[in-house]
Amino acid sequence: MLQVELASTILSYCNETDLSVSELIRKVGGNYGNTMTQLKELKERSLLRSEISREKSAGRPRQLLRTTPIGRRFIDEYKHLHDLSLRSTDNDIRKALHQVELARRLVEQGISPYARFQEINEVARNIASTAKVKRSTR
Amino acid sequence: MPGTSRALRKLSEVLDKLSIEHMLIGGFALAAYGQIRTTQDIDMAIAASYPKSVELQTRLEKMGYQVSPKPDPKAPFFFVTDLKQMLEVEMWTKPDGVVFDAELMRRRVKVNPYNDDFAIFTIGPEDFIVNKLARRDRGVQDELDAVSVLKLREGKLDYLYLKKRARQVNVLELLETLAQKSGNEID
Repeated sequence: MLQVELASTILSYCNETDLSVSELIRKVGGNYGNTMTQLKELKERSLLRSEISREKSAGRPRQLLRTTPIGRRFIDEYKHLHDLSLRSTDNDIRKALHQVELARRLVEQGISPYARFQEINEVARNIASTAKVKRSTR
Repeated sequence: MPGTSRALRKLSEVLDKLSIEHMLIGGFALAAYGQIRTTQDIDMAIAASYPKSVELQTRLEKMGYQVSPKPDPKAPFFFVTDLKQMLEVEMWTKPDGVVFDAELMRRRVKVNPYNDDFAIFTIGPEDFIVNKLARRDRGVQDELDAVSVLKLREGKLDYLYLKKRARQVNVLELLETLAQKSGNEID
């Protein structure tokens, strides 16, 4: 049976670049057997095809996986469906509401959130640029 | 004066000289509604046709800004980097879910981000929420930003307008679900 989320991940990877089966399995991670089953299923449904690499190299010729035109359509349609779901969890929303409460308290104490935002942001930017300089001077 | 202030002021002057309407979106706009979170870059929506946008990019490059990528009529935004201040600005000519019309312009909010004489528009709160929900790479932070503005502006938003805009760009159900989950009434 097709596992829609995994199928979409596989098709997306194979749409972006040509991958061999072992490369794809490394990228997808997770259970090897499960990914292989999905690959077989996707090929049977003509959403994915494999072809022999034309590149000349030593050893056995590589088999590359490619997403078919209906496979690309599958990715688009899945993306539409995926867009319908929320990314944030209940916990994320609770935290955001707590932050709103804290921001309200600032206003009650006569502190401008915009002024505080500028201060904090400037500090964060300085830290980020210092980190970049440190990385580049290593 | 913080570096961002100088950079923002200078950019805004260039846009004014070219008669390009502009407004802050993203993290800098969120702060105008009372929420604080750090952001590395400035997002700005500009009402510029493709030829006007090319004119702007050419002008900015002449002034020493780094502009990338090369002008492309299909691209929704381009980066402008102020190398002196090391500040990156994303200039959005086609911000997700935002329709540049008279109503959008009328609903912009003027802010004094640095508490001085420099004033700049931010996108209106309703359009801010729709822009966040309509982003093609919408993530958790975008949704939480929308929740924050819904809560901070509770009772003060124009809910009819908000829903109209959300419906136009196909995010009405997302908005309703988020509002429900965060205890915000939008009916």
